[in-house]
Amino acid sequence: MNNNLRNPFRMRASEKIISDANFLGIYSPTILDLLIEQHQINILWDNVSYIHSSPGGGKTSLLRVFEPSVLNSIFTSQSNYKEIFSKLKKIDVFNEDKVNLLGVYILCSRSFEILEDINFEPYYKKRLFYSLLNSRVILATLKNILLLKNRKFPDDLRSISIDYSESTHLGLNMPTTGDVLYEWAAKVEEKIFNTLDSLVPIQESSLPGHNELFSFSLMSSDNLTFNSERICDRILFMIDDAHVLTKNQRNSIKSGLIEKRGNYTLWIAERIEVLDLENVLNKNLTKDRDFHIINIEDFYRNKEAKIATLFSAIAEKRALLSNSLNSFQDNLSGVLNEERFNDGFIKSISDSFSFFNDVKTNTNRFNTWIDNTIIKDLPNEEKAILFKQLEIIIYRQLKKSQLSLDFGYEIDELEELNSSEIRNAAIYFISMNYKIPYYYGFQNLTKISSCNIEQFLSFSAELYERMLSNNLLGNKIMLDAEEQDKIIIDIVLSKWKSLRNSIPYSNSIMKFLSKLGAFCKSETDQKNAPYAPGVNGFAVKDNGKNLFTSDPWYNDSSYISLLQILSTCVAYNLLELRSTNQGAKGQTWNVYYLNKWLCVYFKLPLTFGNWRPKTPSDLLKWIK
Amino acid sequence: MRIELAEKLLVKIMEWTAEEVSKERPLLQALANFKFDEYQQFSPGIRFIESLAQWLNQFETIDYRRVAYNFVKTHLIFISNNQISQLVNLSYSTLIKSILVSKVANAQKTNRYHVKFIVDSDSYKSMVRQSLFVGLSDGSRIDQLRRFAQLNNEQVLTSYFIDDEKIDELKKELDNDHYPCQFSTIFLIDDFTASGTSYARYDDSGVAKGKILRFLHKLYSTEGEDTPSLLPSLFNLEALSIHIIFYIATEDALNKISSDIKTFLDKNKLNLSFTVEAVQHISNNVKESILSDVNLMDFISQPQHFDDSIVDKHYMMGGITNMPFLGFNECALPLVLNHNTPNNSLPIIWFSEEKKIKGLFPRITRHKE
Repeated sequence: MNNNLRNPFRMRASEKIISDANFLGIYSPTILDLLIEQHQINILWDNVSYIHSSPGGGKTSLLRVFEPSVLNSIFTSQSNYKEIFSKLKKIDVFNEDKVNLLGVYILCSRSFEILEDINFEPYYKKRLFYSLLNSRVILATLKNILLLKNRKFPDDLRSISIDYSESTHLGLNMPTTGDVLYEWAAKVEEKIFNTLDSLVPIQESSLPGHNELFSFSLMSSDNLTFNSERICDRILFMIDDAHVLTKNQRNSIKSGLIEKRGNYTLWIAERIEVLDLENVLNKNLTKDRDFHIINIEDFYRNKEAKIATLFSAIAEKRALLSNSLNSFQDNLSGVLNEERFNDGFIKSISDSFSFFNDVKTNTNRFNTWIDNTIIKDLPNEEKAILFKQLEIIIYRQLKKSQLSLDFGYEIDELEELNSSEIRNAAIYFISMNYKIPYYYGFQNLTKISSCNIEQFLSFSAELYERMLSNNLLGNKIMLDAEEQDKIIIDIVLSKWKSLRNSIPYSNSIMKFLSKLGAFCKSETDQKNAPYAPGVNGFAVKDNGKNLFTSDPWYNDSSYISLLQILSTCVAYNLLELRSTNQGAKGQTWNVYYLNKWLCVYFKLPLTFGNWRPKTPSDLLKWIK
Repeated sequence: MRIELAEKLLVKIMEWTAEEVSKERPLLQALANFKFDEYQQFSPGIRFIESLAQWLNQFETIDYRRVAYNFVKTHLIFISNNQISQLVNLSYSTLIKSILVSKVANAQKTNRYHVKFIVDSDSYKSMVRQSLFVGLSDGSRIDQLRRFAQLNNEQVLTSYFIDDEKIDELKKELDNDHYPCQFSTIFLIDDFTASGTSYARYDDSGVAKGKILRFLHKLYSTEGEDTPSLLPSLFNLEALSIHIIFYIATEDALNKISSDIKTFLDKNKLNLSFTVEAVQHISNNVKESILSDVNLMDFISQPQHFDDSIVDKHYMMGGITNMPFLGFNECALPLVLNHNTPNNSLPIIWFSEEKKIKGLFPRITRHKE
């Protein structure tokens, strides 16, 4: 095993992992469930889909699964890749006897972007862009057919036949063979780059160019045969990193393909940072359009069990690749060493006790609750939590005291008022006030990762490194709660520091997030825990207007800077946008939750659900 | 030694906590993978991490070990094979080409900034062909330079000792290519100098020594030359210019070589145009940062951290010996080249295996006893 794989959690981005076997070794196919859902409602194939996520969300890994060599590996070693095989079979990627889908992967390199820098009329730029994309699609499809068929490139190109009746304007005689078409497409590409490299001024009229993105129709499975046999039933074109294209080029794809409603399957993967501000903030805008959106993080956001399974599988598969230590999750302690933090619990119990005495001095309404609670014989940790729960409930009742008569409460009323949220708030308060670890355990690590694989790996790489260190020192390998909490906080501090250089509008965003964090903290830390276990989000209260209907706040030019900050935060996965129904019937709120690593930074709980409404003008003040 | 064993030894001798191990181990692994493992003088089976563990283990206190480790992390400069390779190619495009363009511009009385015009001219082609490229050591990578610059085989020499037979051959090849049978430009090329003494110096009796001065001595048949050489006939001495090019050099060395060549020319009443240049300069700050590191100076100056058997007659040629623990000529460099560590670097880095203290990057010495 290579020394580089001491810590496989540091490996990133599937395209950099060289072999298909390595890729499949660490790939977790949970995201394929989303494709299965789409297939069940007949929107997966024969249309255009955009695959969105923030950086590190797993777009490229998803696309790589559909590359011919990977599909061949899965098909020929079905017993090794049972789960992934079965999921792909459900979406008709495999027949009984063969791989029935040809994946064609096209990476958007900077060569496309260069076309936009040339001083031409937009019409010529679009023609050049179409030509380059057409040639790349044709070249990649022909190469991938040979990969799928395990044939030699370029020798076996001539075994491919293409028949496309609408090709007369291209100067190609149909039917033709793969080698002829390959040469034709290669010449188109060469001519474009010769033109661009020319030192003499370029005559626009002499430029090569196509008026249409015909390649997707040309390279249809109906038009292609290999040794006179149909190659497969479906061709999947995958354009990756479309965010590096210019806005004009992305629009050209939309106008050239989507609006024509061709009968092909095209997936365009791009980061959400390139979307228009309005598109990022208002997901409803994409409804009823001629394309579908697959947002990877949104898929996981509503399925916490799925993301936990995914991360668990990723972690274990990566650990197995290490030459030092083959387990990750088992080495993350999920429980607190009570003895180690006994002093904190005793102090918490003692403070609660003082509070109960003060309460008793002023009123006898809570005497039954207090007397029944303090006599319980429990370990200190449990006792501290129970006392804190009672403290929270008493504070809540005291807030309502003006409306209540001074009768003593009965014990069953306490049981009714208590809840798991209050228990969570009690644990949170004790941890924060008495310096007891809070951010530990695999479950919390999953939450802290905010549905983002890259984020999960960035935390788990450091945790795994500490396991390796313990191993090296001959210490106990398992990380206790305290070690985990410290490592996670250290990572978060460094992530916060690096924000300054890694995002646009970083000063304003950091200022905004700091204000938001302080706001959430003050709401969370109220002694009656009104939003137990805490607040970590907000929704824009549009001054009484229903959001995203008539004249919404984001159409008001005075909020443009706020709009920019919010959309950037969403695009860079600093804020997670979720829709929720609350209040009047049918009222939908778009809630912006802090990414969970920011919850750690602001020392907030990791749960979803509790948010506060804020007006746009309130939010604007946080930037200034 | 297995890497895990070396790491175990390392964490033990450095008394690192788990937190420190988590920080340092990936860093060391990255340094090893990125550059340090490619050092060519490690013993078989030894790589950087193993060598580091053994090196640090020699120092008697944890404080010294920490100073030594900190030195590796903050001061050490390792120049990899790839970096030197880049410098070779850069030497042609940034220095040699520029010298030749200027020379043609002067001769033609044209603007030296009209580079394309000059490079396309026959005069430039002639100037390139009438340039002789001489490697001053096997580190000069003259073969790589020849390929990169697309030079003729018959204008590149791997040694500055040129016998008469070779001189005749070079002249003949110039003639065959329809150029005058003499070179008008010489490039003397080497990879590295820190003190400059190997290239130019005067001994106690005022005799010119060093590769470059000896070459000039031979070229101009100055006093003391026993047997007349054909070497002068290979050059058009009227138009000749000599350019000394190093891939890496300290500022002190460049100044010293320039000054000693000038002394030589003045002494012999010679009029010769020359330049001394380097692609990668090592500024004096590098030495100063070593000298101003109080803990490091205390560490390397300890007698138990120095083996004075290295101070032989060759080492003494450096002249200054008050602080021999700073390396040859007290250059105090924290530098390692991938193929060998120069003796101008701190000896604590390069002491060879048989010495009292073994270096982190042991040096193979040129002068064997």
